[in-house]
Amino acid sequence: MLRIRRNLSVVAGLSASLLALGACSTTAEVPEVESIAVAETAASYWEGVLAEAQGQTVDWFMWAGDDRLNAYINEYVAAEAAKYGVTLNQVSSDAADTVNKVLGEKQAGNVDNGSVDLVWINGENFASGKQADLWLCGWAQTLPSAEFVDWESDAIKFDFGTPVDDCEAPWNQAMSVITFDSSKVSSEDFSSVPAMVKWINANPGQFTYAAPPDFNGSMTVRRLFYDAVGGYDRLLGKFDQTTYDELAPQAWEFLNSIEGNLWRGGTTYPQAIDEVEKLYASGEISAYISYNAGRSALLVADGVYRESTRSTTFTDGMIGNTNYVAIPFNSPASAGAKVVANILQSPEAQLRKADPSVLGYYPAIEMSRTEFLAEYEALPVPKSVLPFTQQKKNANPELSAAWLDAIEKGWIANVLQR
Amino acid sequence: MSFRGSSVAEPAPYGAGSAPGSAIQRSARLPGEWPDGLKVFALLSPALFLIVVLFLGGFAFGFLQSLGLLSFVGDGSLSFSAYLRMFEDPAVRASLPLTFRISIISTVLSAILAVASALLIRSTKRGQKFLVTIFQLNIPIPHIVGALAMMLLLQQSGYFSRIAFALGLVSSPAEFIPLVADEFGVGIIAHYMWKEVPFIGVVVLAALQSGVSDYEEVARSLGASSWNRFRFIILPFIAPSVSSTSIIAFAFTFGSYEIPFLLGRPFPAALPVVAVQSYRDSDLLSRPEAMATCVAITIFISILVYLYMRIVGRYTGGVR
Repeated sequence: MLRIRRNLSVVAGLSASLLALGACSTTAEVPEVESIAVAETAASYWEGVLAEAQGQTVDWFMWAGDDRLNAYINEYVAAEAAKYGVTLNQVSSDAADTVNKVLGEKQAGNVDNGSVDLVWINGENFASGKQADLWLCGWAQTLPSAEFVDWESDAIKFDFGTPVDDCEAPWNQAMSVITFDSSKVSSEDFSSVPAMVKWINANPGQFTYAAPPDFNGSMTVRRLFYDAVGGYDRLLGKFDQTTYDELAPQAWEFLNSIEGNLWRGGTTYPQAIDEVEKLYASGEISAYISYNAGRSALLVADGVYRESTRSTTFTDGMIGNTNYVAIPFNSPASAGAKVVANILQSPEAQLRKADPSVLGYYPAIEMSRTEFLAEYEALPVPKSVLPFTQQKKNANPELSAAWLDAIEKGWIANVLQR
Repeated sequence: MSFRGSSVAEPAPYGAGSAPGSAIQRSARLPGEWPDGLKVFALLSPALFLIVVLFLGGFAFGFLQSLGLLSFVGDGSLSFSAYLRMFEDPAVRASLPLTFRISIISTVLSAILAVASALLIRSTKRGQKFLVTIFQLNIPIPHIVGALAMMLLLQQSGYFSRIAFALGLVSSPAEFIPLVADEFGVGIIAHYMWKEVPFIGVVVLAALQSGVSDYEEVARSLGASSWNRFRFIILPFIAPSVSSTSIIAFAFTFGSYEIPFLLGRPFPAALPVVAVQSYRDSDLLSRPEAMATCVAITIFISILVYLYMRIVGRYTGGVR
């Protein structure tokens, strides 16, 4: 759960500021029209789920370290679930522990009476559960709300490099952005990695990233790695040493080639994202990349960042990740769990969750496919924050834990220690 | 000597003298009164529990893990390969010169400055109390706060750099010499000196109160020069305090994590920073190496503590 939690603290950072949602959505995609026959089957299937869910109690295992999130779940989501006769019971637990619990039940032969009905998850915890066949699959895309989800997007289809395969339903998204000082830099300077490199070389010392394994520095290195090796396609899925050995040297060569024009001439790197933020706040650097998409608004409001702070994305996309809910194979209340997952994904619930005054977590669905687009776009977005629809354009996926680890170690040995 | 008994009364908590501890041990040993010993043991047991369970227990677990035992991954067989890997790790190799440089330079310079300051303060006639207060003002300030203050002052966007820029000494703040996260470790050394000069100095001041002025008077009346008075009277008086506090300071700087993390570089980094880096590695296979690094640091510091006990013991006849 670490990874979710880290992302979440990022997302939570946004909450107060929030924003990001909104104003200029240009990506209105029209959902494919299903054939009537399919629609009817789907409708009767869902009626069956609703009937079965009546009276069930759903034990939802999740990180519960955010009071506003807990209030949203226990007051709003639980009330919605009660309308379908489902009792929602929030259980505070680390995702890794939850996976171990289900694994233990499986080893003990408990195939139909597990203690976990729903779990908030992503990344390596989902991957290790999938490896052990712990998840109920083939349900996420059958939820009525699934029509609002962009199942074609790599940022949804892959959970940190692991194919989702209909075994979990998206709930929130987190996106990385480039934060820059518009009095010194224009967004065109960051329209792509090559444009950025041109700008870095013309303005030595104005850009840097935190040394991996810092979470944000590691993401920045991955994004540059994608570009240096000609795209992320070959990096998805399981780690492959041969592919790594073939591609990685190009990335190290690229990163070393810009190093001389980074902050301090690349002789050293900040150790953590907060140092990078301080360098930006004090004007030592003029731009940086982070998952803290909405945080800059908070800092501008506090007077820490200059008013000229803005954010932008590469036209071929930034790295994003999604967090999901999954149902263990042995849940005795899987129908109720599906009902809850459907509520979480519903336009009303996603809109409410995106409201900075409620939570400010970014939606996992396309608000443009819902009737709430206007309300969603009306949520306040400060000038320093890019509307979320723009942030996630062409979103790049995250990689599997083994890839992350290999790239972090490779960077340390070939860039930092070189 | 008006300040005796006031501000300089605190040195005991800094561990300079062993007198209070040994006094308890001796007075408790009355013949036939073993329940008294039991009482002392009972009173000490919370502290002993902490030391034995938390420190020795933790150290034992760490040591076993460094040998590849009790691990989540690997074949769980006993091996010293983590120690070999540790010495081959470029991060560890690069950290050794840095770690020793920081510890030695900051300790030696602190000791010299502390003795000089203590002698100067002692020689003042008026305002001595005030000087002593100022001198030890930063002792209760946490290291983290001191490190953040160093950053605000020394980094390239810090106050020194801005003053230099305002005075026209540099044409932009970025041209100011890097003093934080610099290659040599200037910021780290500066911070440790800021903290250690008063620490050593206060203990030295206390030692100077213990009757040395009588000997000095005698020497002076017999015609000893000021250098000779320093060399043959003052120095022997303060040597135990200086050497024992210096060893404490050295051991602390050698094993401390937060200052080199905040004021240093990710590479080369001080040894404790390297240990934490490998401990936090998501690959559990590097856990034994992290533990091996911690064991190496602990053993080295234990040797220093042993030397400290020897020095204190030699001068007090107590601990051996």
